[in-house]
Amino acid sequence: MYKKPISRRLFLKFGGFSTLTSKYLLTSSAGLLHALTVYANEPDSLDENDIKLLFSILKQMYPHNILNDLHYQKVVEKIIESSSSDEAVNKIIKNGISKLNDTVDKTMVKNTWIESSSAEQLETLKKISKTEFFSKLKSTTINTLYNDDEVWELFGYEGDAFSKGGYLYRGFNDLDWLPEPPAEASPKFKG
Amino acid sequence: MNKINFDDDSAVLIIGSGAGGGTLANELCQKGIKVILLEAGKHYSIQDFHNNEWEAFSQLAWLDKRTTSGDWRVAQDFPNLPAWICKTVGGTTTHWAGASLRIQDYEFKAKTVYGEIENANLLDWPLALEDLADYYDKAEDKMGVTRTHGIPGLPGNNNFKVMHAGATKLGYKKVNTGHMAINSRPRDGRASCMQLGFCFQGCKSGAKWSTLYTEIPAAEATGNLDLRTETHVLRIEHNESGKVSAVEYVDKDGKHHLQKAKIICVAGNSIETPRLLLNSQTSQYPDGLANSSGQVGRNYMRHTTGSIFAMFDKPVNMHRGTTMAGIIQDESGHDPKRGFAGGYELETLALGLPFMAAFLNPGAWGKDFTHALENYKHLAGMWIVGEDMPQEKNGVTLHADEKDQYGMPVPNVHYDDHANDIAMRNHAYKQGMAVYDAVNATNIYEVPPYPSTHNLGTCRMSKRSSDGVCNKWGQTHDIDNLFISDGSQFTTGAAENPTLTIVTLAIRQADYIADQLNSREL
Repeated sequence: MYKKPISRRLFLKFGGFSTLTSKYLLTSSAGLLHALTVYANEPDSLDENDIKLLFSILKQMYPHNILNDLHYQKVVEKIIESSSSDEAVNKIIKNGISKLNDTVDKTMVKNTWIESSSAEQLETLKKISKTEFFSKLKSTTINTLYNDDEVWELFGYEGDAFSKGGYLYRGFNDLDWLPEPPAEASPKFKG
Repeated sequence: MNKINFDDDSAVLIIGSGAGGGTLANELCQKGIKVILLEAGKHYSIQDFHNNEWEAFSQLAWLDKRTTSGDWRVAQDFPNLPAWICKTVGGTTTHWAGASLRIQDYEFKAKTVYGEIENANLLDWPLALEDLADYYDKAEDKMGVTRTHGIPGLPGNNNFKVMHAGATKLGYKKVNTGHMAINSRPRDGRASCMQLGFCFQGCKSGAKWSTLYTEIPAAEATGNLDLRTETHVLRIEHNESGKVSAVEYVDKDGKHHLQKAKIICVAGNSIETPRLLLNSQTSQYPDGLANSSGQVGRNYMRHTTGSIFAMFDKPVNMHRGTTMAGIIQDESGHDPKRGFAGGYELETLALGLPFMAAFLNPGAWGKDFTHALENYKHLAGMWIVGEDMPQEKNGVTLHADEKDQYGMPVPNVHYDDHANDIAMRNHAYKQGMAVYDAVNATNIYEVPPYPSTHNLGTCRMSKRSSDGVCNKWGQTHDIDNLFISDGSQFTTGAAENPTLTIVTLAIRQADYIADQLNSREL
């Protein structure tokens, strides 16, 4: 059942889905969850609760007020993708999720991840921070969340410069809140 | 199509087309000498480069499996990526930042100047700055280094403005936009810098010097070059008299070939070069080629590095413009009062958001980490490059069990920081932080070393054959038609980015090889 690669169909659907309906999705996380689970219907694949949990964990691990679910969704998609195409990853993710609630401090009043407070969730994450599950979430996020041009734009990273002629005439030295270095340290460009 | 037959044993064969191999090939070809240049990577052009960090990394980086050991943090964060170097025509000159500094006089005499340092395998170079002066001059001219040969310095970008303001407030005097092999105006058929900010990803304007589009096409134009790309060398063979005679390589279709040659020059960077010599062991050379000293693969140096990034209230946009846009040189002398031997340079460095996420604090998560990233626009950065101590135990060995895709043992890279390295790094962190503190940084980040781009010393040159692998010409002590032509030759690391010296040594080695051929010594 793991052999079946994540269907290209699944991936393409996601892609199309995100771009076409992103505005609506923002107001409907139920719709989003449905979209993510509809294709992931293999017996051992991630179910709706798993995906809900992944969203919640990722947002706790990498909190950004200026990002929304759609940005994290790409990370979740990546996890679903590798989990569907690689048995070992699937095991890591399924085990990680199932153990997560066991790790939540039982002495606390609330004892599932979703019901825990933010501070409690952080404590739980610290406890699992050496696990393979946690590592997988970290590496996937680093390579996905921060490699997304929508995120770049929000954080002020401008990406490809060559197609725009570089920054020679577009602000490579536009910082104006410090003194200008003298010409012998930083000669003016003579074009 | 090969121009030179497999059985033709009259050419010079060079392994690797980067700063050392690419330059050496051109210099020899210009003298009318036939050269076979074997390169493991693919032949890209400037148009193929990507202004995208991960895409460029997958295109250019050497990603064949390597393992690591030792107490350096790279082994923990990137256990299979000890080095960030390239597998492509042009080698790591596609990726380098362009900083081109001469090694200082005192650094060639490290053992004499520093004295005995416990657990350091120090040695003086078998040559002095004055022996290299004319060749440095030629290399700077060839590469178009700013602030030499009447070439103006580059204009400083925003990241440099922050460095300059902080450094001068702190009292540093030697702060400028550096000696860079990046055109500040059109030169040598190449355009001037567009301030793209993607120096590490292959320069798409061609303003930065790389053997890919300078030395190699110049060599091809002579008709003397036989460049074979996607060829991975497995072994160097020798004849009964002990001289090297041929190399065995695999081509891109998996076919094995044996190419004869008169002289063999190894320029595979400081990991692949000793790996190849060690993997070429025979009953006559049971410890590998040119290894009677036992120093092949030892004394691996990677510079004492680390970065400091700082956040400011107002925007910086450090990604705009040259990656290494400026330098502070006041700490590059030897001043034991600081608590360590040798010196270091501080150079601006910027990473794009994807690589900031990967390198800011590998493995980190949580609010502090995300806070730094979402304030990307407000960050400035600099990199430490300092002399690290050669240690015999640091080095490259063949892995006992793991093999690569060609069945060749993968290299293991071992590195333990020396106490001197740690003292220097801590001093540099403190000074770098003080620079940013002087201009009111709101947060300052000490960033651990990245996988090594400066890999040095694993076949070092020495006066005596018992102390090192090659002589002052890069010719191995044991086998006179076998040469080391890359940064593996470095006796000590010095504080400077190594490419200019690698190119300088290659130009000088070409003269020596030509002389030896003319006088029939080889």
